[in-house]
Amino acid sequence: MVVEDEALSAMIMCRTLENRGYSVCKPVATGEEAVISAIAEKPDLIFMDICLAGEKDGIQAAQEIGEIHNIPIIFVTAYSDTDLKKRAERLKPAGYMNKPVGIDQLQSAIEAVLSGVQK
Amino acid sequence: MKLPHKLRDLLVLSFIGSGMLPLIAVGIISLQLTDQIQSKDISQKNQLIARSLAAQVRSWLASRADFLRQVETVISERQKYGGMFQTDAYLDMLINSNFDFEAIYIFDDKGMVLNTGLSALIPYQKKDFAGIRLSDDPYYKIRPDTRGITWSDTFFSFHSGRLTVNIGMPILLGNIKGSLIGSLNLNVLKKILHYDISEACSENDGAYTFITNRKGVLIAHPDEKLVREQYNLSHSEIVSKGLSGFGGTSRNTDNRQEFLVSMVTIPETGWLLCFQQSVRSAFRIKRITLKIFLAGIAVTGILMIIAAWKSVTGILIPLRLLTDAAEQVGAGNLDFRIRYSSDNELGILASAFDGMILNLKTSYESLRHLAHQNELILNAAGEGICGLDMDGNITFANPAAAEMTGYEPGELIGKNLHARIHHSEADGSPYSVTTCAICNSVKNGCCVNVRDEILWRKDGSKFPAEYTGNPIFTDGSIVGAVVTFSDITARKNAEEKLRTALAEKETLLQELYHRTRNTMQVISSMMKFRSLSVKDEYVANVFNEMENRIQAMSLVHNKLYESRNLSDISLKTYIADLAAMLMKSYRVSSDKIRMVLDTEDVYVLIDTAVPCGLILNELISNAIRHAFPGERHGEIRICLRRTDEGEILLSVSDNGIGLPDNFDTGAGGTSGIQTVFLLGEYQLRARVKFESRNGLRCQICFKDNLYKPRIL
Repeated sequence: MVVEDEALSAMIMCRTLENRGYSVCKPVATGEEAVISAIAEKPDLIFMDICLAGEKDGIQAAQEIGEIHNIPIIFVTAYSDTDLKKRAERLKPAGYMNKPVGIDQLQSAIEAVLSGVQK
Repeated sequence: MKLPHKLRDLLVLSFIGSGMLPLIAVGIISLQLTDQIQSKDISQKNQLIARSLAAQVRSWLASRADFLRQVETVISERQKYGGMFQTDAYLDMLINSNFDFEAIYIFDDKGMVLNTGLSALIPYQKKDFAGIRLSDDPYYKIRPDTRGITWSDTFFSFHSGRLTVNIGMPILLGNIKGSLIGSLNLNVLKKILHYDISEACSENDGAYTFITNRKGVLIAHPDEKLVREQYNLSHSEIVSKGLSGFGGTSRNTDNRQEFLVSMVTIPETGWLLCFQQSVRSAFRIKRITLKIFLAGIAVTGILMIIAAWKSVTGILIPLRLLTDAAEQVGAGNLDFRIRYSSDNELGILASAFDGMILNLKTSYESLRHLAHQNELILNAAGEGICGLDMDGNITFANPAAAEMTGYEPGELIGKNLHARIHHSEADGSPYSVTTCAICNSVKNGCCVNVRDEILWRKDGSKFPAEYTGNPIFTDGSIVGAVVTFSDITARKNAEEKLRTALAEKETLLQELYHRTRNTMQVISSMMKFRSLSVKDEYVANVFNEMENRIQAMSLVHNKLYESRNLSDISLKTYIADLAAMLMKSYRVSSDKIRMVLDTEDVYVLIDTAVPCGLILNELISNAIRHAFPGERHGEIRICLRRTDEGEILLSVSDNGIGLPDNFDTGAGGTSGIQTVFLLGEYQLRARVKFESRNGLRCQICFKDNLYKPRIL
């Protein structure tokens, strides 16, 4: 699942992941929608932007999702704020990536997470 | 404490005075009135007695005179008509039947005794008087000028030795004008004057009657010895007064004893009857009354004194207790209580006083606690707090004030605050009192707050301070001020650091924006550069489109940088610049396509501005490129406004050729339309609608509430 408020970025990520053979849920733009969608869809992996539209940011949404489902979450953000990074790392995410990310980076991250899950 | 005697004496005197004085005054007045009335009554009574007695004497004398007249008539008639009338026997009979007369004589015209009637008292016989010329004796003479009775002076009869008075009158003895003399025994006077009643003439009674003859010789007196001695009272002022014709009652002093003497003259004989009563006896009632009055005064006085003393004691003792209590309370002993209970007002007062002390104690404890609390608060306060009087002198300074200014806590008291710690500006130049805000606060009664000034320490160093001055009012008048101040050195340092940090951040932000724009410019330039080497027109157009998209986003960042708060931008100005930029990019003149901007001044965050910019870029670019093919002219209208529901309504329309009938204007349309839908519906949560009628119109309507400002 892709949680990204930038529509084009969300679309490109979904398209490229689909092109690489992954099954991608419909992207969501807000933290509230991310929680609802994660509970409903139970994806294997979530790419979570931190700065989202709406009241909740990606870290809050990730915390709520983590309380219900143990879904690996990779934070993808343009912010390089250290406090933000510390907040995110407290949740022990599956990964933390800085934008812009290439499709190869995304695929590497997916494979690392999924292999870890299989183990 | 010994109470001054004034109150006690005053109360006692008041008691006694208010009770006794009126009583005494009334008593004296009553006594005087009584005395006057009594004197008058007694005088009148005594006068009446004297008159009554005199009347009795006169009556008796008159009856004796009448008796003798009858004798004279009888004898005269008998002599007239002759016959055998035994005058002597007749006279003897008369004498024997009338004990008042001791003798009756008939003289001839020559004064020779013709007949006599003698009582047994006279130790002589008739023959002894025969041929005697008694008329030579003045007591037996009839005054020739009187036709009636002649009363002789009183004398002691040489015949009987008793006090006697002769009544004489002419008597016609045939042709002879003789004299009839009757010797009246004045012993009767004793009876008349009640000398036989021992109490009546007792000297203890103090009242008796005496009679003097016309010469002042006593002829009747309780003391017979005086009569026998023919005591003459003519030397007595009162008797001589009476003998000279004065009647009435007078006072007479004899042997240091005062008498009331009521005098009546017996005109027939010229005797003076005096009813004499000692004043002491006469005013016995007055004396008794006076004694009763004095006794009453004394008893009343004693009772008054007792009552006064009781009352005073009843007042003074509780007063003393109250005074002691007041002194104790005044000295600070609030545990003192008056040990006095009574049902009267003083008892209630004492009880109320105890209650007052208890309340005082409670209030005092509360006040002390409050004062202590205030002191703790003031001492604990981190701000310097100074109290000032009307002259700006320090009346109070808490420890923080002293510490901040480098003084000992007590050192500042009494000193002028401005002169001590506020005397100079930061550069050392004098700080005038007239411009000093603290001084003005005291003077004008206004509150002042100065956020940044300099205060001076004792050692001459200075520190930045923020202070407030608040006047203190009592009953509407300024009595001083309270000044609180804080050392703001730390704050100023922090502010300086903040300013420095802010400047740094601003510089960084400037740099960031610069680099962003620069980067975008580099990307745009690289795209431009690459497009220059592309021969394919389609690819070249693609590069151009990408460049325009980048420019559209770059323009947002430019506007943000130019904005007032680095947070939101004016869509109105952005649209104008974007439209101009696209017209220039596509090299379209305004003669061919007229750009009409119907835009309100709407501000949006960058999060909204970027997708709006990309949407506008798509729609405007579309209209420029496809709406007016060939030589067709037209108009592109861009509208922007806020609806009444608070939504942003953005539309781009043209009056060009419109879309083909089968053109998909939904989300499945061209990439441009897909982009519009993606950005509009997904990112802006907008309602996107295309209409192809007399051109193409695209309307986007959304609520701009998805994002919050990051920079407040």
